[in-house]
Amino acid sequence: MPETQNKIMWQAPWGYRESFSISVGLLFIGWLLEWFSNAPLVEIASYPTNRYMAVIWLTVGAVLFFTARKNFLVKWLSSVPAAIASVGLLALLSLFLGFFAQTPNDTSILGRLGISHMTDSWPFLIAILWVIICLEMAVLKRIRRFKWKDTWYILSHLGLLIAIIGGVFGAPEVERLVMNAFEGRTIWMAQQPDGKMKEVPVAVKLINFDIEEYPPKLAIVDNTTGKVLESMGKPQYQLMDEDTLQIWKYQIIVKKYYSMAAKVEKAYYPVETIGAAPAALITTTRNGQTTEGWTYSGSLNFQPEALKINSEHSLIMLPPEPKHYFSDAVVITPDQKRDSVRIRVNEAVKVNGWKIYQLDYDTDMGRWSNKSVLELVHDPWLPIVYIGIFMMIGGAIMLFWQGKNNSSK
Amino acid sequence: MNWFDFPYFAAAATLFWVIAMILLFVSNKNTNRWSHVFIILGLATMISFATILWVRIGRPPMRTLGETRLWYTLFLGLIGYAGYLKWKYRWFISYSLGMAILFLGINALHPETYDKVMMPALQSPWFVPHVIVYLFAYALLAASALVALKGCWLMFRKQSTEKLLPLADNMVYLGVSFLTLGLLFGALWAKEAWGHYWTWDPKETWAFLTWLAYLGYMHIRHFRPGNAKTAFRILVFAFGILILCWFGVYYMPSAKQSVHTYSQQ
Repeated sequence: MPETQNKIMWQAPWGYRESFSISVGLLFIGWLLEWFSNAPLVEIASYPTNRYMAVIWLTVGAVLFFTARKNFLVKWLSSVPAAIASVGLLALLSLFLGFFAQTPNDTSILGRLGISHMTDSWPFLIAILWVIICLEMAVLKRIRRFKWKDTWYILSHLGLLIAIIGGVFGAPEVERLVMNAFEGRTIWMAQQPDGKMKEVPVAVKLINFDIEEYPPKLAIVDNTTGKVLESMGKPQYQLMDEDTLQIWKYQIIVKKYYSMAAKVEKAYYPVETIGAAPAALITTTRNGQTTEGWTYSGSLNFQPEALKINSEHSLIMLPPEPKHYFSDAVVITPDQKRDSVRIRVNEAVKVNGWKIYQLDYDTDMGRWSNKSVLELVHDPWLPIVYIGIFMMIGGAIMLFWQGKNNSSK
Repeated sequence: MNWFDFPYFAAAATLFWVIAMILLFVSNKNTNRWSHVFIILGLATMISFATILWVRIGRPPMRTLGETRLWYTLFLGLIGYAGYLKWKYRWFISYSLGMAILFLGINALHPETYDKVMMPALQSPWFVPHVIVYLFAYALLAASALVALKGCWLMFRKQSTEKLLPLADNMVYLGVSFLTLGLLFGALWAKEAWGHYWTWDPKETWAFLTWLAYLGYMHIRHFRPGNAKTAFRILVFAFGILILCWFGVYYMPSAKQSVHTYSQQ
């Protein structure tokens, strides 16, 4: 429906001018609501109101479409100008979100307009509701006169609609709790974002927390400035993963290496005590001059030791970086089912509808930490979001294969 | 060292692909067929290396930076070739093979990175696909921005831009398909690594804005296909947002806490 230049504003069919005006109007309504409403949106939209809102909003869309498909308003809602204007409003708000730091309880003008807590603000909710109804109309229109070549269109638009519905209406039901687990103790309380403790239907008994480490890094420092020597503007840290290394202009030979060691009198010996750290006996050579000695990365209990090569330079060893850290634990559900699991970064464990993530540990204690910080996440709407995401992936692959010419005829 | 043979494989693959690209630009039917042969030979070389490495180390080689680059090379080659078979853009396969060779070169020149540290959050099967699809998306969308700039210039000189717009459109369609995949792979990865698929992390927000800008372009083009000037301008603008998302995010007030900032020593 081409928009003619001399059409009077608000005369049907509506085009870009009317659509954008409505966007601006909705933005101001959102700001007014945000400014004058007393109750925070987060509380209003909490469970079960979020479910009623989802059902009502989607039903309103469907009823409008099936009863008044030919009405100009309904036609407009499924049109490109409405889509652009609704997405434009969402983009504007996302721009604020992407630019301004997000701080809850902000009382400045940014806070009062919802800009510094954008995702919980009225304007954002209104923009998303508008995007949802436009998407719903557009999808219903295509489905009603379905053709096979529209498959990519349906997959991407309906997928997006489903993913947004799951994400937006499901958000109030997402629970993210932090649990401090201690070795040997069974814990079933976890902390909510507001600091309150909550009982969870999963008890965790931490058996052991451990860290697998990379070999330590070596570097040469300037004795007077204490700075690491650079080459081409980059500090020269070298991973000690081989027995001979070249750092800066020094040839380094690792003669002995203990990943867990402590000092006894003048030398280092392998030990298993708390605070044992990597130690290496090293020979450095430059211009025929050779130095030999120990270097030690140090830990919470022991001082690090540098190897003084000469009056100018010393060799230091950095504390090793974690490769993996993980918690071996027993998880117990209320029906007394027990399961031994290993929880590690990128490998969450699923128990009784909750996902348990390895979040953190006592970093001062490092590998001797007997505390493991776990995150427990519960998101009942996740399957809906995933259905949407996988439909969109299908749509994107079809889009790649069809390109412009076959997609938009 | 299991990577001992890498330089030989890398050199062979590079040689095959360089020959393929040279043949591609000498337009003649025969040489074209041979360029296919050489592209496939290069791919076969890298697939063999990845397979041998996998068998030797007894685990999927996806943990270190060097191993990650190996997959970049392989998938850049494979997707580039698939795209070339479908769309016949010579620049597309050249870009893909060029990038693949670049990653081979980085790996061959920095043997120490084979075992370099990679922080636990990045050690995920999603890392490689997430980065690869973005490499393709950014390349295609950059190409579309160049086409748009050329279009603006031609319009300024009052010359015809008839052929440019369909080309820009197709690049955007292909680019957006990769951009969408990148965004979604990122979401799936985030769920596995950080507990939620979307947290409005500043980088996510800007990736979302970039995505919206290109969706806007596609919809406007669909609605009023005649207006070339607006189309070119939107494309240049959208690429500006993409660049902001890529480089600018860390300098914004919102970026104090972002999971996409990887401090490295």
